[in-house]
Amino acid sequence: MEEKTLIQSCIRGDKSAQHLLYKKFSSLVFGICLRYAKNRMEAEDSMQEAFVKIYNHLKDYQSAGSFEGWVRRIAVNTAITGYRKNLRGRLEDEIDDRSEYANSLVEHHDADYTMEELMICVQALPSGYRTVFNLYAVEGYKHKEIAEILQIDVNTSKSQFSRAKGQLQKALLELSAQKIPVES
Amino acid sequence: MSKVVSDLQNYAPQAPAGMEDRIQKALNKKKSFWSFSWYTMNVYLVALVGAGVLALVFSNRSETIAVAQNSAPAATEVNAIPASVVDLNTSSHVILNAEKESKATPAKTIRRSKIVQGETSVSALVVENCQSTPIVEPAIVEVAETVEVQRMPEEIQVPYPTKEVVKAKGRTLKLTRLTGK
Repeated sequence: MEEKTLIQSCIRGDKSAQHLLYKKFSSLVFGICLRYAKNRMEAEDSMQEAFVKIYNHLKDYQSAGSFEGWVRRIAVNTAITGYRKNLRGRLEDEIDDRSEYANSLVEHHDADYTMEELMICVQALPSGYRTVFNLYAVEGYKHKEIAEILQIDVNTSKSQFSRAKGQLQKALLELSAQKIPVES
Repeated sequence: MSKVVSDLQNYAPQAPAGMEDRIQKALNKKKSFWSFSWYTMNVYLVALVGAGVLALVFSNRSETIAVAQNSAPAATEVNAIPASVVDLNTSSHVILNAEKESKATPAKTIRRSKIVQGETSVSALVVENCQSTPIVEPAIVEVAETVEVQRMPEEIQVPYPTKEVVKAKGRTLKLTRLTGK
């Protein structure tokens, strides 16, 4: 089915069209939600919310940009909304200087990890670090934009990204070190 | 780090099973909030009746306050006629002298004041009060009733309790020293 026809059918409330739309974008949306969430359960909640928003706002979609980009943006925005909701409870996570040491580490090029392991490392980051890292490195937002979205200072965004990067590198190094067999 | 970023960008895991049903349920739940149902209708009805009752109670309360303010008498001082004290023992209408008066039981005068006012409806009073027309002052009729206090003809004397020493009857024992004498 063509994308435009699929969207029109979904707007009319056609269940089979909604099923097709879900099949097409569920992996993408779930991947985004997993990156922003602390754990799988939180990601599932975020995914549900994102799909409800997608179905309800399909009529607002203007075919100017790509539909995938529109879906991606909704998923990211839902994840950011979730982050804002839980911001108060997670404030203590942000005060964490353990990554200072990791920051000084050299760039890790040949990391040996599976996607699940990488996701565990990303989810282990403090929520503020994780959100800034995802927005800057993966989504491609500028620090100024991130500062506006998360209502933080530009320098905070920069420092959080730097710390997140360092902490992630450290975690991946440790992971690789565990896998390398010890030479006698 | 660029590899990590590209891996994350392309990461698209399989969505958990049962997620689609969960989404559909959430979608239907959100829709049903605005659609008609007897349950929501009853809730709205109960809320409406409650609001009506509250509005009624509050409107009555304010009306009562307005009536109370309107019905306050203009004059509050009442000059009562002094009550006359009559000595019933002498069976005459001679007024007792000051000494006797002070000793006698003071006469009690019950003062009652009645507010005589033409019955006016509450709404009329409120309207009247709002306008610049003078308020009709209520006429106060004083009613002074004298209660005559009868003096007791005889004084009842209550005897004071007297101390009575009761001596023990019989032989008095004389205590002697146990000296053997």
